[in-house]
Parts: sequence; C-alpha cells; structure tokens
Amino acid sequence: MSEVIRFESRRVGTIEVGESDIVSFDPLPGFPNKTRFVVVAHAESSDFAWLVCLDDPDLAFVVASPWTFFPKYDPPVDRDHLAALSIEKKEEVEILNIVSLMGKEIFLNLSAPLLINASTRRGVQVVSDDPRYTTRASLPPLKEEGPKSQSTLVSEDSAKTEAAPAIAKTSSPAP
Amino acid sequence: MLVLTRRHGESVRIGPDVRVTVVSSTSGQVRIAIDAPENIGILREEIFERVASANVEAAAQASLMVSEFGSAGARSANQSGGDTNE
Repeated sequence: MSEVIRFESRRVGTIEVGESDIVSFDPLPGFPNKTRFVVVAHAESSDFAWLVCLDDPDLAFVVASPWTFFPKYDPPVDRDHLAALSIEKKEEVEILNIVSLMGKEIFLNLSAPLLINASTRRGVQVVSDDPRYTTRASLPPLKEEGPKSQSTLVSEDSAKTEAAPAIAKTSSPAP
Repeated sequence: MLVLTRRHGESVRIGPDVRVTVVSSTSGQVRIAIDAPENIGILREEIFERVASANVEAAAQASLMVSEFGSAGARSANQSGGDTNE
C-alpha cells in the first residue's frame, strides 16, 4: 500500500495521490526540471483528465486519450521512445495527448503524444516531425453527446450549454 | 559552450557513446552524421521548439479551463485501481 500524498495545485485544487500514481517524466519540452506528474480524472466518465505536476503547483495540462476522438490515430512513436521507457511494443504503453484551446475550439497535440509505461510509471513526450500530425488537431464532435459537449469546455455562456460543467461530462444521459 | 573546427570526414565525441561526424559542407549547409545509442533522443532544434511552445501555451490555458471546470471537481488520482486508501 503506497503512501498518500496531499498536494495543493493552484490549477485543480487539493488532490490526494498515491505514491504509486506518480509518473516520472523526462522533462517536457518547455518545462525543464519538472518531472513528477500525476494523472487526475476530471470526473467519473470524462473524456479528459488533468496531468498535474507535483513539482510546480502552477503547472497542469488537460490531457485526453487520442482514440476517443481520433480512432485511427497512429502515434508517431519509434524505437527510441519505447527504448527510453524500456518498452518493446507500442501496445504496452499508455498514451495521452495534451489539450489546447483557441477561442472555443479544442485541439489535441497529436504530433507530440505523452507515453507512459504503466508498470514502471515512467513517461516521455514524443517529439516528432511526423507530417501526418499537428500540434493542433481540431477535435471532432463527440458522438455520444452531440457537438454541444465540445463547447462546454470553454463556454462563457453557461446558460446556453445546459448542465455540463466544463470538461467533465454530466452524469445525466444525453437526451 | 565549446566551439571547435572540424573538416569534412572528421568527428567529435560526446561522452563515450556519441560520435558526430561532418559528412559534407557546401554553401552554408552542413551535413552531419550522428552515432548514438537508441535511448538518446536526437532532434532538430526547431521541432523541439515547436513542441515546447505548444506545451507552454497549453499549460497557460489550463487556468482558463479550470475557471470553467472549477477546482472542486478534481479528485484523488486513483487511476491504478483505487487501492491507495488507508
């Protein structure tokens, strides 16, 4: 049983994480010296999660599993990346992509996925120049909730967007 | 920073396992060959920079996302099966 650590994130509030939940990343480009991260669920069935940095209370990313939105995504991962995680096959690795915004549009960075070796809790961000993918891939509408769920992430006019609180999905079923 | 001059065909060693060789150089372009172990990432600087700025931008927007999402929604991290209690 691993020890529970309480962490005050200025992004997501207070979280409690098990020591075994911590992922040691090679520093992500742009953030040298930040290595300890934890994946925190938004809500029960959200398609998004937080990647919270335990080395910096101001640092957190919104992340998502790419295949939720891009079922045919083929991560630009080569042997070097897998070797860095002591992994042999792509299938053994957990993959998350960083979410960004522009206005109300939501994007996934498909050209630089985050790879996590779930058993060793080691992570790296792939830096690739794979021409198939961009750092801003626009999210297609969510099938099960309809296009509205997209705008709830950043909606200013919450009256219009019904009950869904931001990124988290509502527990009520879609009409 | 170390700056040194190499001719076509000459190399530089970085640590015990990395060798950088100048293959050719013509009119402002230099071709280099790099021998390095698999676990050492080799990147063109501009690609690294592109990912770095995408990361910085996304992190800056996290506050925007949280203002909608609200901090109360964050839960304990329990991705690995919910066995971290007690």
